Amino acid sequence: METVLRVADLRKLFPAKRSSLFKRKRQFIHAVDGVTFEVKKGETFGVVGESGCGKTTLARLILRLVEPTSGKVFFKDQDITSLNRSEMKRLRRQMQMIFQDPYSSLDPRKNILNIVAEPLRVHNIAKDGSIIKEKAQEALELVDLPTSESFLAKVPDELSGGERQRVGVARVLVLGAEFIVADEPVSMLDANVKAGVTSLMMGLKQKIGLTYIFITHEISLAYYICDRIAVMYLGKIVELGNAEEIINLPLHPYTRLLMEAVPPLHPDDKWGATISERGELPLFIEPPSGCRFHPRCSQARDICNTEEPPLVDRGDEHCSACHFF
Amino acid sequence: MSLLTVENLRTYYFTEKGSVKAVDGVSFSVDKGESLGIAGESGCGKSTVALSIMRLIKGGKVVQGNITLDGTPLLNMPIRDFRRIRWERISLVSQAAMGGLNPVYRIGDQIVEAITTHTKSKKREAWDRAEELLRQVEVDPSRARNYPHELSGGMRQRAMIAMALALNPELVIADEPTTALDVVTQAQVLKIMRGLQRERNVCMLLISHDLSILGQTCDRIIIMYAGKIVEMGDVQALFREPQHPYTKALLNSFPDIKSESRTLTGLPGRPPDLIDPPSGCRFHPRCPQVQDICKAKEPTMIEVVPKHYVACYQVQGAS
Repeated sequence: METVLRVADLRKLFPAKRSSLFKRKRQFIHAVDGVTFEVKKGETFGVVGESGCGKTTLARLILRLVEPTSGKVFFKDQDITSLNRSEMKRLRRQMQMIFQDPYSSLDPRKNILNIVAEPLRVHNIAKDGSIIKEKAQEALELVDLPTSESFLAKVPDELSGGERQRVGVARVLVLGAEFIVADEPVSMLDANVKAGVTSLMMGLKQKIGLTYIFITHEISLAYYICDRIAVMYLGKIVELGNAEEIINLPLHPYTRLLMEAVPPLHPDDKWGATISERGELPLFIEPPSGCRFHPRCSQARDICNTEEPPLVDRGDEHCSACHFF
Repeated sequence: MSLLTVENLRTYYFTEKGSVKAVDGVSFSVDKGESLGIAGESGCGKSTVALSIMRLIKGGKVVQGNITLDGTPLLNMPIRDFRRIRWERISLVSQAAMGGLNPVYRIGDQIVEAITTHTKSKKREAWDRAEELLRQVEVDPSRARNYPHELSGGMRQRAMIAMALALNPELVIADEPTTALDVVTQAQVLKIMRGLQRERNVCMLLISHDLSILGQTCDRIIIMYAGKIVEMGDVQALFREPQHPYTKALLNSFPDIKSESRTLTGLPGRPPDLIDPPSGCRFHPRCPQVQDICKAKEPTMIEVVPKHYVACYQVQGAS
């Protein structure tokens, strides 16, 4: 299978505020810290982790909405970190992003037609009004929204959360983008609407051949829709592999913690037996020494405090970054 | 013995376009020491039920119905008297956000304030009590000296729970208490809540859009749709044998980590306009099993099996 995206040792450090004027050493927040993976054509690649793990920064780096501190991103073998503005703009027709919040990502003063058609104007794809409208209607049809004049004239306020997020998807499809980074696209929606929007996205993948990076904090949702999953913790991938395998045979203690946190759908099943002792994701500037998860890990031993475990293939491309698992 | 009884509650909000029938004829009761969950999608009226009980409705009012706490009617009580009931007998934990805590006071002082306004406790005693409460929600008592912004989201929410329990209320209402929290933190906070609820035998009303967390924390569950209760039963029955088509649809829309099929089914359509709700059963425009009678006449709640109530013709006809 053809590789669409390759991320090589990607790193993004954000300068932290100096805690004191006299402190000499400048500190950095390691949002993404040496991440490497590949995404194949037609694949849904899930990135899972708690807030603060760097998943959103990773999304923004991939689309070059922020500049990496070091490392490279290859889209179809082209190093996008070396492209200039106009080259990058041209490439963005193929790679697009769906944002988390359908309430703030749509301009409240524009009507639906203009929102969906805006990318066409920005990228100078069409100038003629009737062609623009036709393309916008095609995109709306793909996301199962009405194409009537009255719907096109609506503003985002008149739409439900699910409809807004569909508009967000239509806006990406209108450009004919084939590679989509979706950052928590359904986390703000009600469960049944969430299910509707995700199944729509998956249907579109089949229908027009899309490739997704799907970012979510819900490992159960990732299991449903992703082919492969990368679990991130404090800027690093701790486990990477086939979705079914990760769920059925999680290796890394952090992945197991995430799984335990999912409330089981059956009241008889035990929920989070050991979870209360594991603490919260620490607010950190300098990450913990050794394995970053060791302060929260129930299996931590001496070596975890001193040596950082590399991400190693444990067989069948199921990788884990842990000294013991 | 029921502690809280809600009878035929109707709470409407008044807008320019007309009155929004947010809660429209809801009846239920909660037993002492019981944990009851209310689930439904946004706009179904579940939060309005909580606000009606707390008498905190803004922009609308309770137009009909009775709410009693241990036999005492709450709705017609002078607001001065009701203020004593709030916090002392019924307390509220709202959505995890900065909103619930005052950003310019230390955590401990806020709990102390709640205690000293309602009881004759001295400040010193109240502070000790605040530290003890924090310990119970597994927050380091030294955190009492911190301001809300110095705590993580999960700790803030636990401090809110500590505050809600400060006066030993008989009923704690928690409205989406963990919605803004991370998955691991959510599990921790709910485990603490459930533990304290059982230990102190307080009654809990837990409101959430997430059925799976209610399944883990409640004894009984109410499913609301468009301002009405459509199904009510104990957790086991509801998850094992959901009856109402809406409940089934809700359950199908949750990803189950143990499932092998990996297909999610959403529910087409959107919740109805509550200014002018659909005739008959309010779910009929979205119901996959709709019959003629559903459009014409509203189904009533019927006990299909002991203690399992459903408002649906399909189910009632079949049983």
